[in-house]
Amino acid sequence: MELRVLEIAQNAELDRKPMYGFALASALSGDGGKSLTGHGTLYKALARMADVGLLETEWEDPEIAVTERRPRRRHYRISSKGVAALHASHPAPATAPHPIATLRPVQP
Amino acid sequence: MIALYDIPTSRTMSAVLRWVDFYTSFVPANVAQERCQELLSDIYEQLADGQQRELSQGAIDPAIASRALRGLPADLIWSRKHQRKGKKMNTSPATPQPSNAPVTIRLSSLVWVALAILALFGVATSITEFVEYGGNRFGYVPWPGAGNINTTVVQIVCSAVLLIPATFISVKRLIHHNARQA
Repeated sequence: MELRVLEIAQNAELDRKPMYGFALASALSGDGGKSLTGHGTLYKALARMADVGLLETEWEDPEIAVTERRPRRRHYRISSKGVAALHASHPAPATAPHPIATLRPVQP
Repeated sequence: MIALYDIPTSRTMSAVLRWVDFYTSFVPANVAQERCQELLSDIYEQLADGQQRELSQGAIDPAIASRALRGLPADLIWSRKHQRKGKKMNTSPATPQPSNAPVTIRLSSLVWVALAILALFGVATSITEFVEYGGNRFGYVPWPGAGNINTTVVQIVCSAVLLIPATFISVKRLIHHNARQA
């Protein structure tokens, strides 16, 4: 789940969209929000990821929440450590320096 | 607790928020407050999303309850972890105090609640066996002792023996926590 969270957080960062708990749960479900991740499971994972520095968290400006008449959101952003971890888990497709030399000869 | 803005509350939502209040009552206040606010925001967003998609309250409530139930074990683990962290911060390991007190097993309040629920389940199933099936559920014995009236008696006695202290301790600790928070 951590990798999916990092991917979603990175995409949100690229799209300049704020990422918060429910938005993450919806994105994680991948089925239009029919089976969202359990509260405990989601927030325990997010807390753990924030603790180890994969995510950065920040509470939304209370003024925005008051204006939109809803509770404050806690925003999650992928950190540089998170980006590195994500790249490490998805290594770029290898462009072999000597592809021909590594090919085995085809047996007739 | 913060009022739920423009979205009407439901019994399910109140129950989920009460559960959040309960398991966060064991952790340091600042951690508890953040968790409560985050969950409140999440539930609000789910309600707002459901209403935007024109789902009925009957569809939204079970979805919220399902998320709370599926996350229940993780909630307990999280609470226990922060409870321990809080205790470590409050006690100095450099100055252990010698004690002549007898060695007792101190279980977490959440463990007592879990035991009370388990015992209640045991009592309920054994009563069901007595009332509906007369101690022999399916008329056959799937494994030695199963469905036997003696097994049911043992089950109800053991469950009752566990239920009484577990309920007593859970309620006592809940009152204690509430008094401390007030």
